[in-house]
Amino acid sequence: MVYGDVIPCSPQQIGSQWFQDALNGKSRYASWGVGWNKARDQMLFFTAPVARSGVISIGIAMKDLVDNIFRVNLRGGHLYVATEDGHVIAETGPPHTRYVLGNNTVSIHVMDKSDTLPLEKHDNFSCQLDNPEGTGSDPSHTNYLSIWGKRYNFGCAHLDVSGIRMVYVIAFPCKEVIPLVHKMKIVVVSLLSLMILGVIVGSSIMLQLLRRSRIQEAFLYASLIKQKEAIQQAERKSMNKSLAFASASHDVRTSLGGITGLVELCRLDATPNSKLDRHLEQMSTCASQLLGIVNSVLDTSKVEAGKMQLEEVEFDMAQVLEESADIFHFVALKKGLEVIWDPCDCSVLRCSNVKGDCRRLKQILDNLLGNAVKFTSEGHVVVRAWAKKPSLENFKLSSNHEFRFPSILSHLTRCLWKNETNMEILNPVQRGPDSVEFIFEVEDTGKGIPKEKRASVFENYVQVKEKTTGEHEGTGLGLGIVQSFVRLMGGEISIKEKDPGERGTCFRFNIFLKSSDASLDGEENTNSQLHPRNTSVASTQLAGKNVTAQSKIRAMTFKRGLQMEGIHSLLLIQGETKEIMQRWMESLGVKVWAIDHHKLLYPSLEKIKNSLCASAKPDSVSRKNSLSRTTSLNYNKENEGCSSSVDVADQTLPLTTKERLKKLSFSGLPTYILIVIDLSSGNMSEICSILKNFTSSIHNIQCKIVWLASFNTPAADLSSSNQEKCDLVLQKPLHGSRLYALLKLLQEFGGTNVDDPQGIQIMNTMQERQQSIELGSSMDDKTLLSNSFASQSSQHTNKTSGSRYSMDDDTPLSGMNILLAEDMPILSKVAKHTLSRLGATVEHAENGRDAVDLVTKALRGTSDKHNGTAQPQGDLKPLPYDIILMDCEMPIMNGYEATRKIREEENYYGFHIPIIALTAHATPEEERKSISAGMDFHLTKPLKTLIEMAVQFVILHLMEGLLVL
Amino acid sequence: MAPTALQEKLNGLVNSMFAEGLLDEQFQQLQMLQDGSNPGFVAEVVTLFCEDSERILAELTKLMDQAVVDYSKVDAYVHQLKGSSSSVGAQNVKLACIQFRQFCEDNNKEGCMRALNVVKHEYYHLRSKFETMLHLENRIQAYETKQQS
Repeated sequence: MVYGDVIPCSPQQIGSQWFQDALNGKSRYASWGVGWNKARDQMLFFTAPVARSGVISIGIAMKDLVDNIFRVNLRGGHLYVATEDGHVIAETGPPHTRYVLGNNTVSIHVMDKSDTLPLEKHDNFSCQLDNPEGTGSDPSHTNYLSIWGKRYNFGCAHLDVSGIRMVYVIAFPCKEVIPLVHKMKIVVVSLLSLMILGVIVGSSIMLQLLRRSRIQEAFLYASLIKQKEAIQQAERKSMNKSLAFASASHDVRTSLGGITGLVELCRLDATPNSKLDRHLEQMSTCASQLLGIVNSVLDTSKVEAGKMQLEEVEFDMAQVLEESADIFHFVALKKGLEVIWDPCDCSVLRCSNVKGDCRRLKQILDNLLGNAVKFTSEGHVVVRAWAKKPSLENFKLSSNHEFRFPSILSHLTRCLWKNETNMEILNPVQRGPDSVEFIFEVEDTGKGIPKEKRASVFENYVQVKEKTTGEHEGTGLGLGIVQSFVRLMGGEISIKEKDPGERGTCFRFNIFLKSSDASLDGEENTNSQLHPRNTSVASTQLAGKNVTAQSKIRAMTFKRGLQMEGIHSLLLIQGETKEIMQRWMESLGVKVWAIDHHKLLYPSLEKIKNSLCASAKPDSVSRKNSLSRTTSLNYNKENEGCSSSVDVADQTLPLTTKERLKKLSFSGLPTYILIVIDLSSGNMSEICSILKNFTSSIHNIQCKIVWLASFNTPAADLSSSNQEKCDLVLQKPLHGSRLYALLKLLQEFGGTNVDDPQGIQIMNTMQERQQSIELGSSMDDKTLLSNSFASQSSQHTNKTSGSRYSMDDDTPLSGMNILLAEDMPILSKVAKHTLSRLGATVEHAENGRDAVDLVTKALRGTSDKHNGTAQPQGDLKPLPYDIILMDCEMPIMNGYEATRKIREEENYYGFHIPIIALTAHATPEEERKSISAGMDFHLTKPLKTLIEMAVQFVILHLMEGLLVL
Repeated sequence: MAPTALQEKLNGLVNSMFAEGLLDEQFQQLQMLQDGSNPGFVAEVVTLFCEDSERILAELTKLMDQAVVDYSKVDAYVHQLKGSSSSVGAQNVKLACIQFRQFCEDNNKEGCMRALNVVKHEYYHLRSKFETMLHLENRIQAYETKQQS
């Protein structure tokens, strides 16, 4: 497109040089010039030769170019464009500025306000491009100048516009560009700083977290270490504990052994049959029990591991039962309970020699008894035991049970029985030919065990208890062990259902043990009486003091029963003992009158007398009834004599037996009365006087009185009982060996009975309802037997009467009359006190003469009495003083002289009072002197310990015996 | 003070007396003899002992002060003192008495004088202890009776 007009003109009109150049192509293609039109506008010319003769020149008005340039948005910048020859093409400022172009340089002149005088001159900005190739790119250098208070950024560059060399200078006001950059910078910096900050914060947080986790980790480590230490410590501890346990149990065993040994030693010193002796015996039993417990604790784990082995030792079942019952009797005494062993049918006594694990059995019994005592606050605890020979009948029974099993499932008791029989079947090993089944029952009157808890009772560590009563200690291991043991012995333990009205619990268990009595089996099996030969063998064995033989004898005693016809027994005992005694005696065929209050004593004695008088007449019916009748008196029914009668024997005895009994009862008519009285029954003096009257009122009747003492019986009562007629004093609890003693006493009636034409031996097994009578055993055997028993029992009575002084060990001198001759008040006081503590009655003489006077007076008194009455038995001379303790050095008359005087005096009467010299100087001469003066013994002052006194007493006693002999 | 504290104090005193050798096991026997039936037994015996000893000591002093000492009399008194002291378990007094008798046998006046002084010293020492003991016992008993009532 062509704007403008084409103006042809001749070369003459225009400068020839330019034309020539253009024509020759010498000139550049473009050039700056002043237009040809009249306005002489600045223009750019592009010239080209046309056909060697003409030149075409196209001019473009500079104005258009400048306009174009100005159209570029310079963002507040200024632009100066000029040709290199200095023709300014475009200039926009900055104001008051003049550019002067040099050779490749630009000078900027800052002018004053009128643009006339240059104020400043900034020279020689280089316009050389860094990169000569590039055109139109960055200005070579940027220079900062400040013009009129404004900072400008100058840039200068060459520009080649189609051959026309131009220079442009750009000035940007810094003010406008830099803030942008600044802004950018600030943003960037702030962003950067933010980022840095963020990084810092983040890293610090991270650090914090890291540190925290580190700390946590450290804590964890620490606690882990602690835990580990604790574990190690615990392990160490448990190891130490087990070690210590082992050694401790060893130590305990050792020390227990020591205790037992020492107790045995003490027993040697103790007076036999005395209270001390009994206590020591109890102590040794307790100690061995403790040993057993220690072992049992160790055994618990063994049981659980199933490693428990049963021992097999021969032992006496009766003894075991008695020991256990005795121990718990003491324990229970404190609570006011009664622990008693009910002999039942005496089957245990008859086959008490068994082989088995006695320790475990004891443990079972002790556990059950201990529990019973622990959980019972009033009433009694009864141990029952009976032996059963497992026979074919049992098998039949058990199979029957099994058959009927579903129908009786609901019934708990039956169920338990069924289990038991099942157990029996499961344990055929236990049922050897010589095995005996023992069934035990431990019954108490405690609060009982609720039904729902019965199952858990036998679990280890379980204690059935009410929440309100937390006072019962214990581990809850007891019954668990018991159950394990019972099962080991082939039995089963269960809680027996009690009658609805009854309180308390009843544990029943059965065990199988091997019997070591060979004779028993034969007898039991053939259902015959004991063979005469057995008896003789047994009684000969008695001499050997064999324990087995003794218990055999005992078994036979119980087996033999009694010639009980005509024996009446009156029991004045309280509590369960009475019931059991009554049952036992009735089972022996004794007519029992049981009362429980001393006020009833007199009326019942009268009744006995009356009934005896009545029975003296040949009234067959009353005799028979008297045998089988149980008479019990209650305090409330004082006026009513015989309240109930149960004909047990009538129902069970075969007719022939009854007839025989009837026949026998009329033949001899000897009547014996055995009176058993509990010393704690109450008014002793009243009882004594009643008894005195009674014994004096009957003449042709043998009457024996047995006193029942308990450990808390006052000594006074004991001594007063001694003054009365006394055949036997038994210590509570009344069972076992004490029953045996009683039985022997009963048998003495028969043994001493010469009127008895024929020996009648009743074997009594109440529970099995089997009674058989052996008649006509040869006379020889019987006498032998009765002799042996007579001798034994006479020994026994000797012992009891001999231990008159030693009945109560606290007062071994009780009943002794002692004269103490001592001048010094302190010594006499101490000695007097010591002696009276030991139970002696002490008379005191201040000096020798006093002593002599007292003795003479006493001697005269007794001799007077003697003259009046006939001399009693020759052995017991009533000495005026049992002992005289004589001080040797006294004022007025010394001990030696006094002794001589006394000896003279007593010689006259035929006495010899033991005189003991008390001297302060324990020299041999002194002793010789005292002996020569007629003294019997010599003691050194001061009278020392009680033990010494007791020892001295024993010596005295021996001496006394010698003197009497 | 509580009776238990008193009792402890008393026990401590008695134990210290045992430890010092003032008393021997005879005193323990006396204590054993004391029971509920006669609570003041020990006190009684101790009082008796003190009275007796003081009398004997007075006599002894009188005898020793004389120009011509009757050694047989002295010996008899010392013997008595020895007897009573041994019966309460006053060990030191007893030992001193034994020494005294030795001097008596030798008719050694100077020794006897010395021995008498030793005996006196021992006795007074013991008496002061006994007094404290009895005082304590009295307090305990008074407390007990008060409680009972």
